[in-house]
Order: sequence, then C-alpha cells, then structure tokens
Amino acid sequence: METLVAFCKWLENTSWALAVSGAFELYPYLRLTHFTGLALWVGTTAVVDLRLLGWGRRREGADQLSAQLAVWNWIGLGVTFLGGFLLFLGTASGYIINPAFQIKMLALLTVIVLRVTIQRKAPVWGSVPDAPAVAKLIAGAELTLWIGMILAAVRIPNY
Amino acid sequence: MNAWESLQQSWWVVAIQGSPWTYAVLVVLHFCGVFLVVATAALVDLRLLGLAARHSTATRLAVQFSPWTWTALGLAVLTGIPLFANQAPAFAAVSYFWIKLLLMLAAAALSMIIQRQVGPWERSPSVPAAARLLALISLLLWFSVLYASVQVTNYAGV
Repeated sequence: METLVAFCKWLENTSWALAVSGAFELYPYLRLTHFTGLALWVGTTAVVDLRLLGWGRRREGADQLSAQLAVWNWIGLGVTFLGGFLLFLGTASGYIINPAFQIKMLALLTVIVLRVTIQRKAPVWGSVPDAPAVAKLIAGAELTLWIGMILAAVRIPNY
Repeated sequence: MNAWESLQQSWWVVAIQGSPWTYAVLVVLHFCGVFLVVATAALVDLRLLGLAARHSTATRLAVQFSPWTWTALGLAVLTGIPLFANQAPAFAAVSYFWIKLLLMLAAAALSMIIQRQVGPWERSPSVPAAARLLALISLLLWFSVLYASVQVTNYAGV
C-alpha cells in the first residue's frame, strides 16, 4: 500500500497531471466524458445481463445482443477510463487510501472479469430460450456489482 | 421563504437529508436510470446511422429496448424529484437545470417518434436520409442532457 501511495504521489506531481488538475474549467468535461462512457458501458452491459436473466422482451437473443454490442461495450469502458483516470490524477494519493474508492476498484476488476466471461460464453448461453442457471447467476452478480460500484463511487466524498 | 425553499424544508425532504444512505441510494438509482435510458435510446440511433449492431436492425433493437428506455426514464425522473427537492433553491437558480429538463423532454419525444417510425423506415428499400438526421439529432440531444447535467452540479455547487 505504501508503494502504491508513493506511486500516486509521484503521479499527481508529474507535469502533465499538474496541468490537468490545475485546469478547473476542464473538470465538467472530464465528468461528462466519464458519464458518457458509463452510459454506454453500463447500458450495453445491462441489456445483455437482463436478457440472460430472462427479463424484458425476447426479440433479440442474449447471444445476438452480446455479439452486436461488444464493440460499444468496450468503447464505453475506454471512454469511462479516460475520463476517470484524468479525474483521479489530480488527487491520486487521496483516492487510493479512500475505502470507498478501494471498494470501487475491486468491484471494477471483478466486473471486467465477469464481462469477459459473459462475452465468451454468450454464444452458448444465449442461444437457448432460457439461459442456464450459471449464466443467470453471473449476469445477476454483474448487475449487483455495478450497483455496488456506483454506490461506492457516490460515497467516496464521505470518507 | 419562496416555493423552492419551502419545498426543500418539507418534511419528506428533511427526512432524506437526515439519511445519507437514502440520499446515496437515490443518486445510484438516478444514475442507473440515466445510463440505461441514454444507452438504449442511443443504440437505436447508432444502428439507424449504421454505426452499431449491423447484423441486427434498428427495428429489432427498438422492440427489444423500448420497455427499458421508458422504465429507465421513469426511474430517473422519479428519483430526480427528491434529489432536486433536496437542493431546490440551488438547482432552480441554475439555468442549466431548466435547459436540462427541456433537452430531456425533447430527447424523449424524439426517441418515442423514432421507436414508432423505425419499422416503416427500415421496410423501405433504403433508410430515408431524414430518418438518419433524426437519429443524429436524438444522439446529440441525449448527449446534451448529460452535458447539461454535469453543468448543473458544476454551477449549483452541490
């Protein structure tokens, strides 16, 4: 943890991090980038997971949705990360010791693992009308983790 | 005391202010609603523009997503009301807040039109240029809603 804090202190004092964190007028646009990415990422994740769970309409199969939306899912992740990383830069060493931020990062890693799993298995899981129990479990876990991750993000300023 | 101040001090708003976790849950649900409504509407637009899900059709996506679009919009609005009331005087004083509401209404109306018309559009030999234009406007409107939302919290200082 000490190494991590030291790294974050170095990071936030690099000339480019100082340039970003000093530009206060930039912050609304960084948040906009973060939220636009999140809408794409969460939205394209949720419609696949909800379909695996068997909730909502059945015009498209989960296999189709997953394959068709994968590109925008990863674009969403990339845009979210871009905005998030630049927001993180300014007070990196403060974020890294924040328990809500730590929970958010753990949830993030888990969500990415679950997402890759679902995208790899969707051609099988989504090809039948009713997805297997394990698919529903993983889809439900991913959605639950997302809610937890957003809750942790909202609570960051309280710690 | 004006109307926004009395709204902020009504008993149910005071109850939310006294419960940080209730407030946090409302914010989370608001975000989830916003993400889902923007994404499901935008994906239909992107498909009409030929930029997403090209092995599917915008008609199929619209049918699949429309219940989520309107459920999510309902969730965003329902949770948005107490979040607004919590800081009513500050939000009401920021013009971006009212711009956000107008943009949201315009975006929702246009998405509803697109959902209804996408079938006939796609049954014609090629998607009419006007349809693509509406899809582009819809995308820009939903993006503007996010932009205005960010500016609201920026200027309201909450």
